[in-house]
Amino acid sequence: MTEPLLSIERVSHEFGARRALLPGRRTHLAVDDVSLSVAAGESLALVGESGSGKTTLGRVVAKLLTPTGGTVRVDGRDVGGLSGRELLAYRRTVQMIFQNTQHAFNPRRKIRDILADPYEIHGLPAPGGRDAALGELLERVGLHASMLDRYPHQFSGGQRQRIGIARALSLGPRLIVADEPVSALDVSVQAQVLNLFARLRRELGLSLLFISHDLRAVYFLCERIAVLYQGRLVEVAPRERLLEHPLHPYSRRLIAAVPGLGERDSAEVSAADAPAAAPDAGESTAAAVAGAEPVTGVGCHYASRCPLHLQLGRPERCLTERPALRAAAGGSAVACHFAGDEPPAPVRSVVSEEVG
Amino acid sequence: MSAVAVAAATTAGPRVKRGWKIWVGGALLGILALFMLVGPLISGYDPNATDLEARFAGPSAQHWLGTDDLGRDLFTRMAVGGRMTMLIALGAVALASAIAIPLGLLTGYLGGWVDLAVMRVVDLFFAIPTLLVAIGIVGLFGPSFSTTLLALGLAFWPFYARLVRSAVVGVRDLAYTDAARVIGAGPWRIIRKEIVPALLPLLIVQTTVLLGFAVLDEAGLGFLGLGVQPPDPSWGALLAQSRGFVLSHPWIGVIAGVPILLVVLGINIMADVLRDRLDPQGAST
Repeated sequence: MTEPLLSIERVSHEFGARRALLPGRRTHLAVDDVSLSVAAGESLALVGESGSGKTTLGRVVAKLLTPTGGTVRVDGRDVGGLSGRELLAYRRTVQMIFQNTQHAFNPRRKIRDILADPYEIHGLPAPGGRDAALGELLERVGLHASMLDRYPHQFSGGQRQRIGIARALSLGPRLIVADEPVSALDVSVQAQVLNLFARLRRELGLSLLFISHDLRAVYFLCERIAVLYQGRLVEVAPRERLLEHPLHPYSRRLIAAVPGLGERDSAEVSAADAPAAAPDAGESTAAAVAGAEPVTGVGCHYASRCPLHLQLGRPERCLTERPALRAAAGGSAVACHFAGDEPPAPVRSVVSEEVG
Repeated sequence: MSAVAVAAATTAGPRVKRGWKIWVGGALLGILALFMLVGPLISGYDPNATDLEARFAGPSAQHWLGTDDLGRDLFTRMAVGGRMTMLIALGAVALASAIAIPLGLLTGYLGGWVDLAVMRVVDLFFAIPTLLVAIGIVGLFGPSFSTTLLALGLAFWPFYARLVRSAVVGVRDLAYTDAARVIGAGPWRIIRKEIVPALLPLLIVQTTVLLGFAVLDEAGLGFLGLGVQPPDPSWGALLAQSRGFVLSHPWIGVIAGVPILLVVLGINIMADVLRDRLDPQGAST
């Protein structure tokens, strides 16, 4: 395998870590020892419920956060200590698109000024004049040059997201971190923006780190999918493989919870599973936010809600040994001691038992 | 028909009100400014020229606002004193802004220990009433025009710095400053292009409000005899002087006090107008 464009090596991020010396300070381990890589031109999805650390990981890659542990490499080079010119060069390589289109633009500045920023900061060449360059940029994302003198609030959410994409593209990046770029948009607009992403990937050969909880969008856009649960990577697999043969019990629940995707296996399972998975997701989110459930670092952090753990008779190993990511069939890698060893059928019975 | 009328009335309402405010505020400040600038020229008196023949003269054709205990023309003294007071107020606000705005931007943007240290100093100032801080500083350097300016400036900055800081914190964490960082903007560019423009309405309004306070506090210091020293007039000094004759010649106190009231009223009305125009969010919440 050639060297990946982006490689995330054992990255952790703990919020409040610097203040932890003071007594009574609570820290929160948002990303816990995650390793991933993205090849040039590849599109990798980060999925997981809110609080799973996917956004934090994206912000680490975009260098909005400095990770408290691990290394991020681009083209094999550690990007941790970059500053000045090198940091600017990094910005030209890696760009980010934000979820909230309402706040991603300074409401007091015209689109022209906002889009001119990258040109001013990086001294980008604009052979035909800057106006022409900015107009061309807008056309590339399906807007018109005549919109340059408008303010952000004069656009719809979908249009603003296109402007966000244009802003990122102006630097000619090779990797774009897209943090839930469509989840705040109307469903009809989502498809348009996703199509734009697909087109730009095709035309420009972009790599994408696509953060989403929407598995359909992910399926449409990404070749590989990484599943995060409470800051840890539980499974990473090629798109079809993950959606059709999820190995990790958490991945299974996540996929079963999406109507229309879970059906692929069996309609009754998804119907039985969906109500079980939905409250579960909500509950664990609340737990992650409140920090009610201590992540001890010992054992598997999913064990307490894991149907497989239950089915196997609560093996001791799940509680004492943290599962390492191991390769499995079909290009998958899974962080579970037991997943994939057993036939999938009994798992369902356990789940339906739990529901009933 | 009636629905149309109601709609028209509701849309016309605020506009009429705003128009009223800007005219009253503007007229008040305009007339007072005119009074201070050209008053001494048209009255023809020297503000410090005594005329013992005409002590405590009431308002008349010669002395439009009467004279004081030494026969000095009060119209002229009020106009000249007004200049002094306004200079002190403007200077004090400029000084406070010069300290508070950069400090507030810095602490708000950087956070961390810088923020912690500066804000503890601010807390210290907060524990003491503004006027007391000013009195302390006057006590240190002796009363004079420049000390009053310095004292008020130093007394005002902590309040202002905290305000700026909290406003910066509110803007700093918005997604668009993140977006600017991802594009490669450095801290100075972010402060200049993203944060300061968002604060500008607040800064303009607060500076205006502070100006009103400065006029009041100059009068307060002057009244205590800690402001501009006689024979130089200032509104505070004139107010202090009038105290001696408040029973025998009460109109002197009225003449010294009413312009202070009018200026502060005018400034506050204008601050209101500015807030309505520049910072619609702040006005509604």
